Amino acid sequence: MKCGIRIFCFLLCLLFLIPSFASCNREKRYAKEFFFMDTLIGVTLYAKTKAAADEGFSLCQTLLSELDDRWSKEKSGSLVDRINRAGTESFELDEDSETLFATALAVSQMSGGAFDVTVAPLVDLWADAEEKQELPTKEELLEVLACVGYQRLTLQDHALVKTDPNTQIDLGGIGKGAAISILIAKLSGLELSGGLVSFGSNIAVFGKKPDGSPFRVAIRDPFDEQGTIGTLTLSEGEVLSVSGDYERYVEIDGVKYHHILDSKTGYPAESGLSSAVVVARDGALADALSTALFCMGLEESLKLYEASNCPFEAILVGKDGSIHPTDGIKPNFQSE
Amino acid sequence: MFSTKPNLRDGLVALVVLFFALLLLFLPMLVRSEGKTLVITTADSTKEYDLSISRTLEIESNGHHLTIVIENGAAYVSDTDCKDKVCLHTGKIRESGEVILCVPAGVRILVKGGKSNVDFVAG
Repeated sequence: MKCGIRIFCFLLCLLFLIPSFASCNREKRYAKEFFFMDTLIGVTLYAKTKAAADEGFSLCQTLLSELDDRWSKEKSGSLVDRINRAGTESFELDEDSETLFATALAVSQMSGGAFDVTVAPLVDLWADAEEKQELPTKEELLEVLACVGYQRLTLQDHALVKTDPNTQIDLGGIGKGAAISILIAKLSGLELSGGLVSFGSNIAVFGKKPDGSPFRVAIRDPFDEQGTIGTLTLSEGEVLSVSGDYERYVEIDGVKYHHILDSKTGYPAESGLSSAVVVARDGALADALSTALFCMGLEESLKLYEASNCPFEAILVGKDGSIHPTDGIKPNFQSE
Repeated sequence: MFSTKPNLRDGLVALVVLFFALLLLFLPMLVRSEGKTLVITTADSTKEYDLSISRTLEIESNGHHLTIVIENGAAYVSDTDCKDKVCLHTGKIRESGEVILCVPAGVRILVKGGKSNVDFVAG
């Protein structure tokens, strides 16, 4: 038994060991979809075992169900339903809801009401309009706008105080962002190497992909359903949120009216932007700000970006097709 | 008498064995399909369609009717009698992993396969 045979035996071992070692240590991709808050949620997890991925999916199911029960305005008995049905009352908040409302009121204030969590009556009016196939009248809009205004909500001692009985809340512009942040924080604590969660127009990532490459998200072109305006690299814990006039809409008499409503006019916002992309570490902030920037338009949005200490970056796409990334996002954004 | 020094034949054997070891390692990547498939799951069945072949599909599921169009490498729901219309508003899907879901009809439309240099398409 000499050297040649020994080498042969050693390499024979390698023949079986290299692939099995590689596959044992390689994380696999697992994906599952959920449907909560009227929205499709896609969860992709990278894990070494199916059991670890299943634990992640089980956590998603439980957590999303809890948040839906708490924040859906359509669910009888939810926190939002109770607030909307009540007169002038104070509502004790759990930690997640308190954080959400604090962010909602902060973004409402810094955007001068461009984002407003009290737009529920306006959203309902446009939903009724689609049902009846009749545009809302000016009188109807004025009547509803009289009930809209974030100033009628305040936070005091872990409680939300409603000072006007007509005030109604809709978390459509912030709830999904808040939920996605809570979700990835919990998923990060499990035995998963990384993952990506998409929740409507919010996308969040955590950990790493098995090949070590960064998560890359393409941004859809508002003017071409098949095209993209570029690709953005997301880092651990970042949330991307998009608000665009091409996403959801109501159709009345064959005309499409997009879903982002201007809380000042009552009509779909017309600010000169076709989409606003925001990246932040706080999902609620990213979600609310994308709505706010879309309503504010390019100039006001850039002023807010430069003036505020708020940690966010953005890509604003004008109706003329112009693309405006903020300074901090430029190194991570590769345009088409 | 065996020689204690490795000879040319040992080297060749070593190379052949290493070649097969590396082939086993990278085989899954080499045989992975480039084509994308549209997987449509209804309340009763699951069917797969080539996303590169244009066609219109009429689907019945849970008492609902959906019209699914495949064209130019993308798929979308062009019509449905479901009240929610969430699937209609989802728009076109074309990247691997993208999904259209109609909960009332119990229909899931998924793109799978193919290679993509992005993890998700946002917006």
